[in-house]
Order: sequence, then C-alpha cells, then structure tokens
Amino acid sequence: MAYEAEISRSNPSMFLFLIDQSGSMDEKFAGGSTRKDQAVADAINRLLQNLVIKCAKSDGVRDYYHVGVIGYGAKVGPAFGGELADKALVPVSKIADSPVEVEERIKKVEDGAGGLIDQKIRFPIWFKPLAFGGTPMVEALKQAHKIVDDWIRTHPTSFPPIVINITDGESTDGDPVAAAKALRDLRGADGEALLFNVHVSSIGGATFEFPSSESELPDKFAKQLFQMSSPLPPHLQDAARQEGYNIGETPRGFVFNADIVAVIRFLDIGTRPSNLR
Amino acid sequence: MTMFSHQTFWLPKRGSRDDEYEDAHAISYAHSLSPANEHLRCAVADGATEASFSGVWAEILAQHYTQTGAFNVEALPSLGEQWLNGIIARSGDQPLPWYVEEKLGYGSFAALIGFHADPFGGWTAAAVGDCCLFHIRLGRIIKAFPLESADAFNSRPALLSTHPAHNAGVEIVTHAGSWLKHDRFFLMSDALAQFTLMYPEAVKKLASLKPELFAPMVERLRDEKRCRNDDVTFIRIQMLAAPLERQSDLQP
Repeated sequence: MAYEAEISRSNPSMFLFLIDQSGSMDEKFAGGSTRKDQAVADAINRLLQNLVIKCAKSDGVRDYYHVGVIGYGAKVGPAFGGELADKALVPVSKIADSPVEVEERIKKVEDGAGGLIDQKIRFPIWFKPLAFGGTPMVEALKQAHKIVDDWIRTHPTSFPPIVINITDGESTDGDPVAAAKALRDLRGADGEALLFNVHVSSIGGATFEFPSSESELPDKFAKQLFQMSSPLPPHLQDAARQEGYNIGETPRGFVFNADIVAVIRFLDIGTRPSNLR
Repeated sequence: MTMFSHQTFWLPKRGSRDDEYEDAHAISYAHSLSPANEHLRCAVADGATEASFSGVWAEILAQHYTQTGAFNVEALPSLGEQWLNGIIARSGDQPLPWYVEEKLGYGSFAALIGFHADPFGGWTAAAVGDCCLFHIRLGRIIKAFPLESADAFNSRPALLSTHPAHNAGVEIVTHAGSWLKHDRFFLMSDALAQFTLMYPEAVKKLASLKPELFAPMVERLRDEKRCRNDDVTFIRIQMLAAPLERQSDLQP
C-alpha cells in the first residue's frame, strides 16, 4: 500500500509550493476585495505557521518536514525571503527560527465563559506577495522535478513529496501537462509524488473542490490543471470528507475559484499527516 | 501484609529518546500494618502527539488520580493552571519563541485510565480516551474497559484538555467491579492495549513477562506491525491475598 510511510525525524516528508507570481496575480478574487497575490501570500504564511506549530514540541521544533517555495513570474526560483532566500528546501525548524518579520495581529478567542476576547498573536511572515511578468509554469514544474527527484533519491522510503501549485491559470511557456506528468511519475518506495493544483480565478461562478471529472469546469485552463492533478490518496479523501467536502468516487487534488478560506482549508487537508510519529 | 503486587513497564516510540516519552504513569500504594488501609491507586495517561508539553499534562493527570483516587471535570481548571505555570516557570526569564507561545494557546490533550482497588475486593476505574484497563482471571480477560475491541481505536476520542473550553464534550466513564485472589489487572496506553484486544491470548505471556524482556518484545511487535509505533506504558497488578471482610459484614 502506498502513502503509509511513517513520518518521523529520521524519515521526514517534504512539501514544495509553486506560486504563480505573474502580473495578473494583482487582480482581485472573483467577487472579493483581496488581491490574489496578497491572499496567496497570507495562505502560504499561515500554512508555514501551521506546519511549524504542528512540529513544535516541548524540546523545540522537530524536522518532520522539509519545505520549499518556488515562485514563478518574471523569474523562476526559490521565493523565501530573509535568511532563507535562495534556499530551495528548508527543514521546518529553520523556518521556525527565520521569519522575515513577525507581525502582531489581533484574533478573537473564546474566553471559556461563552464569550470572545481579543488576543494578541504573533503572525510570522516568510513570503511576500509579488505580481510581475509572465506565467512560466513549465519551467517551475521542471525545477520542482529536480528538487523532488533529488529528495526521493536521498529519502527513498519517506512519505512521497507533495507539490502544491497555486496559479490563476494560463501557462505562458508552453503546455504544462507533460511536465506535470513527469513530476507525478517520480516515485519512491511509498508511492508517487503528489501534485495538487489550486486555481485562484478571477472568473465568477461555481466553485469546484476535489472534483472527480473535468466536464463541468468552466474553461480550458481549469480543465488542464485538473488533468495535471494527482488523484487524492485514500487518507486525504477521508480528511476531505471529515471537513465536509462532498467528494465523488475519483476525486483529484484540485480546487477552482477557491476563496482564501478554501485555499487555506485545501492546504491544510493537503498537508495533513495520517501517520506523524 | 502485602495485598497487591505491581510492576510498571514503559518504552518511548521508536526514534524518540527516553526524555521524549509523552505517556505518564503513577502508582500510590503503601503497605500498612493494618490491611484495611491497603488501597492501591494507579493511572496511565497518554499525551497527544500533536500537542505540545503533553507529557507534562499526562503526568499531572496521572498524579492527580493516584493522589485523590477519583477524577472529575471540576478538577480540570486548576490542573490546567498547574500545567501552564509549570511551563512558564521552566522557561525562566527567556521570552518564549513565537511558536511555543502560539502552541500553548491551543492547549494540551491526554487520555487517562485510573484504577483503584480496595482491600475488601472492590475496584473502580475512570477513563477518558483510549488508555485501557483489563481485568484478568485464570488467564482470560473478563473485562476490558473502556474499549472492548481493537477496531474501536481508530476513532479520535475527546481527550482531557488543559483548556476548560475544550473539555465541554469530554465524558469521564467509570466502572466498578470486584476482585478475587490471584486476579490480575493490566493498565495500558493505546498501542499495547490495541494489540492486547487483537491478540487476547497474549495476556498469559504479559502476566509473566520479565522486565528485561519488555522492550525486546515491543520492538518485535513493532517490526511485525502488530503494535503501532507509539509510546507504550504497561502497569501490571496482581492480587496476592484474598479480599478482607468488612467489619460491618461480620456477624456478631
């Protein structure tokens, strides 16, 4: 059975985010007031924060994961800021200790007596929004291929790498389907690498979350991203159902027209371990 | 007079150090010149893997049960404060890293099984989550509590939290029974308890297992995928003497 390897410090897993930083990412979400690049940056920072917290134990942050962020727009390459700049893949303990800045934000929390109170929280930032240039998705997938291939060679028994591509649609450096397939074909002892796609569209209309078919998707770019996406492994199907998603028999790791909340939920499900030890 | 014997075995999950073990165990038993005062209280708690400082929380819960011989939800707020104050005191004058501070806000979680045997042949148990008690007579499990089948371990039970707001859905389940001379009781955290329910014939071997053979046995079960790789805790109790008769039970 695939996707059952235990995730531990001696057998860590990895996530790689591919972030569309093309000029069109400065547009707003369909029906929303937030720029797509800002919303995606917030989602990535939130996710990195969640990963660090998940791995934080009494003795420090344990390296259950290594994480990378590749940006693609005017250029393609590692997109962390600050001390981590130019690093393709970083253990999560390094991420914990190296935010570019830590903002103070206010969040509402339960007071234990039925009410809500304001609580100051620290919101670390590793990744800043950027929207400039074209959408060289093929080159981004090729860079991801090399990083994932190297990872599998050095971690052949680890839980397979998960690559999450966040884009507003059209590749400008060619058809990305073949590069996506080559990436999905990379495999270790516990299964093939997983490629998930988050389509942050400015087009209004229906939202699609983990669809089983492309037939109702509204444009060719959405259909293309669906074709590029891995089938959801069983443990992630269970996680999606527990989150209340109404999924079919053969769901793929793809969401369309997702608002920022759905993006975060998707990322949270996509990175949920079933076997963290 | 010695009414009860007890031994405790524990092993951290494979890949973790002893100081990373996040189960906890506690026993309170003092021999007494007066057998009527011989009560045995013990507990096993299992701190949740994804939480932080959950070993500290498990220890507080296990100690609380053995000191009081009971457990109720009203005790939780002060125990939660004890947990938080202990962590703050431990950090001294150093500011906490952002992720520690954030994670403390989520609280910590643990499962618990507590057991109390009195010298008159009665026992009670209290449980939250998937730590288990087995009552064994003549080499057979006659009561498994609170879970009764290996399949029941796949759910995610509500656990005891350091944060009062998270304890609203927690249910402390209790059970009472009676014991006879030579009966045994096993308290276990979830991984070994699940194995025991899957392979109940193993209780005979567990009843006589020498301490030095515990770790090799667990490692072999992990290799054979019969026991999940998790912290393992096992308290083994045997009733050495017949129960006392209560004074009020005696006829004049």
